[in-house]
Amino acid sequence: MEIVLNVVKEKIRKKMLYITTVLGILVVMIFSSDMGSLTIGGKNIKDYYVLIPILINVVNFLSGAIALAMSITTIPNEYERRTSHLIWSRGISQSKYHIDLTIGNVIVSWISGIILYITLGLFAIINGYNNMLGLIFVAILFMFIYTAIICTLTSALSIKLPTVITGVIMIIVFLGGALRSILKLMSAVLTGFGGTVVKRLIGLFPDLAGLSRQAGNLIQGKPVDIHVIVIGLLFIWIAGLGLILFRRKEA
Amino acid sequence: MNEMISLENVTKTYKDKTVVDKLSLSVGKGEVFALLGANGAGKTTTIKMILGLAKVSSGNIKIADGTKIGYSPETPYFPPYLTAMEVLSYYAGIEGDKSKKDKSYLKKLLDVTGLEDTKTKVKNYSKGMIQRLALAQALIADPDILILDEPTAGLDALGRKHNLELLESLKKAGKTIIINSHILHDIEAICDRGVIMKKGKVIDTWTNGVSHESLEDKFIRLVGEE
Amino acid sequence: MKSLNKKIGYAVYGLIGAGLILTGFITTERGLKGDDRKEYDRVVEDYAELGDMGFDGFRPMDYKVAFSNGEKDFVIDYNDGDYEVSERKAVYEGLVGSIYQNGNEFEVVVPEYDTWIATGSSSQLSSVIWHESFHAFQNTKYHVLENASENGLSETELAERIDSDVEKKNMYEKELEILSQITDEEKNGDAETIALEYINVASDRDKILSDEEKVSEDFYEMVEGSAYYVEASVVRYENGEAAYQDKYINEAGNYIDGNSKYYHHGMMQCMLLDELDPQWKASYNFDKPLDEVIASYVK
Repeated sequence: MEIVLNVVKEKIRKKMLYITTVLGILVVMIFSSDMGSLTIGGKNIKDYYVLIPILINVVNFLSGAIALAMSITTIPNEYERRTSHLIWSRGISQSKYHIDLTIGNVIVSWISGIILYITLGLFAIINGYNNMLGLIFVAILFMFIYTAIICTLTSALSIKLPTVITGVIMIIVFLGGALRSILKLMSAVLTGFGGTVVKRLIGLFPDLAGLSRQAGNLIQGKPVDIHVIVIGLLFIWIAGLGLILFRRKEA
Repeated sequence: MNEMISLENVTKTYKDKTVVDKLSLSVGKGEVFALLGANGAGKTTTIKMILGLAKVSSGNIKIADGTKIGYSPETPYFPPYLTAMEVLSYYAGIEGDKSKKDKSYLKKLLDVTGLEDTKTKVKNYSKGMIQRLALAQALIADPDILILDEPTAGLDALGRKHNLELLESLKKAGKTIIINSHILHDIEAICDRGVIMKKGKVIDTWTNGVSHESLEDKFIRLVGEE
Repeated sequence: MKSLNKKIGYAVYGLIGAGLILTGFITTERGLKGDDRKEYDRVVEDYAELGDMGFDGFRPMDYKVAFSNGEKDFVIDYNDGDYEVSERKAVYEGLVGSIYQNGNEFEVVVPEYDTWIATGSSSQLSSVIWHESFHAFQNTKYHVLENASENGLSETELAERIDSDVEKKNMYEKELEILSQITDEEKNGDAETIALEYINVASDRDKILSDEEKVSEDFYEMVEGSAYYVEASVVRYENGEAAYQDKYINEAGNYIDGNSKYYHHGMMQCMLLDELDPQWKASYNFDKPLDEVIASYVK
């Protein structure tokens, strides 16, 4: 628990978290107010009810980006600074150490996500959609899964791989997951063996777009696909397995 | 002699490079033991293997059952936004022993190492203060063995003196101490015996007060010649 | 004790994983997806209200509908209020909304709902099923493809030729402009005047078209224009007047490079014919150009 809390304290002190959160709040503000206008299919979207699934996508994406940026250096930094020496030498297992560091990051990403969702809620009230408020806060659960996937995958990879390689892989996975629906559509026109391979590869990305879509569905009163949630949790489980099994040779 | 740690033919290789080569030594209870050698002699790797921070390629390291080890690294990093008390409280929490989280107990550790329980953050600490804090955190679990990597390096004369006095008192309290240091005067002042390492091998042993040759002369003679 | 706790921890973690895999397996949608089923149900419900829209014997449920993911087709075969679903290897790879000739039968092939939604299309997938079903009807009952002229050009080639010829383009633009009066509620009382004006321009333009261009334009206006007309009527019913005006009517009179102008043109020809004679469809066998049918009403 000490390690978890220490990560939370350390990250909260990092300015990056504030900058990204402020940026997120700005994005929500711009989309939610008359200052900006979002055009879809030539139509100007002002209705908050229509806008909310799009905003959820944006907010989840920002939370995911924060999660990625935070997680990528956490474990490598521990070894770089040799803080690991004082942990390992106290008989703390690598898996516990790595899991605690990851949980710390997950909690911080959740905190920043919650701040963004509170902004969403405020703008729902401003736009007169008070009745949506409860569901917006339930939709936070989808953001929890979304960011936890990114944190756990990034952390697990960062145990074994150099930071740059983890970064490249995770940016691809993150964008692939967030744009999975679009990629799926683009790949739908592909034919032959190459097309099948591309479609299979896209299937390997975590369905981050799907999670945001389910959150949007929840708020709009449409059916929520449980399968997307289960597969999201399975991704976290697999990454968690990586946190348990991947080990550094030296502290 | 009541053996606390013994190394038998311990070897550490990284790819093709042998960093520690068939090292054998033993340290008895209450002894203050020195690991001596130039940079790259394999001292830190030996310490890392004893602490389990690096795997042994071959050979055996035996540590007496139930032995608690405290470790003070050469270049410690502590979260800069914490106070000394918070740092100790953090590591005490990691130890998992609730009694060690007690504030008065931790304050005593700060007193012993010459630090004060103030609101000053670690980021404002001098190197000497950080070194002392490293020593304080090594003492949290009330260890049987203390492993200290360069405990007096980079300290001013007063700091060194204080640290040596502290080590002396720990020695008197019956702690077994393993020191890795370049500062041979300090070694002579505090250590009972030690080994001189070169290229991963023990090239000689040293026992305090046995020879007329000073440790420094001996060291230069053995390590300096190529 | 510590190692026992560890073992228990691993066992619990393993159980959670097994539980997730099992739940994932159970919740996987197999076969025809719920959303696809809903789109098909919508077609059936629409039909109950819209009927054959005047095209004698047209019933979209008479044709099998395949929802395709590019690898597999999930085929609906409607039978007396109920339907059977079968699975087969996709007959078309990629993203397709089309008809497929299976022996003597024409079937409809559309993308799965998920894929369709991801295209960002503002149309309901059900209206696409109506559109393609109408092609299946045209081919099953009137063999339009079989009877098509061998001199015909592809839609793309035809559009490229017309788009690059200023005179042909301008006169087509004029035709569209005249026809679009029929979509203007204030003017469409005078259908015969519009028809006369249209026929005059159209016959003048015919003189500058090559045979293959003339045959091809007539063909696409008839086949695609009428299907687009059916599709538009479905959207008007499903999504309301505003969506209908926005998507099908407001821009229909404008010349657009590419093949969509034939869809718009044909649709407006059908609308004009509706004004000239609400019963025109009953006797129309897709064996002559819509221009000819319009001309037959002009004195």
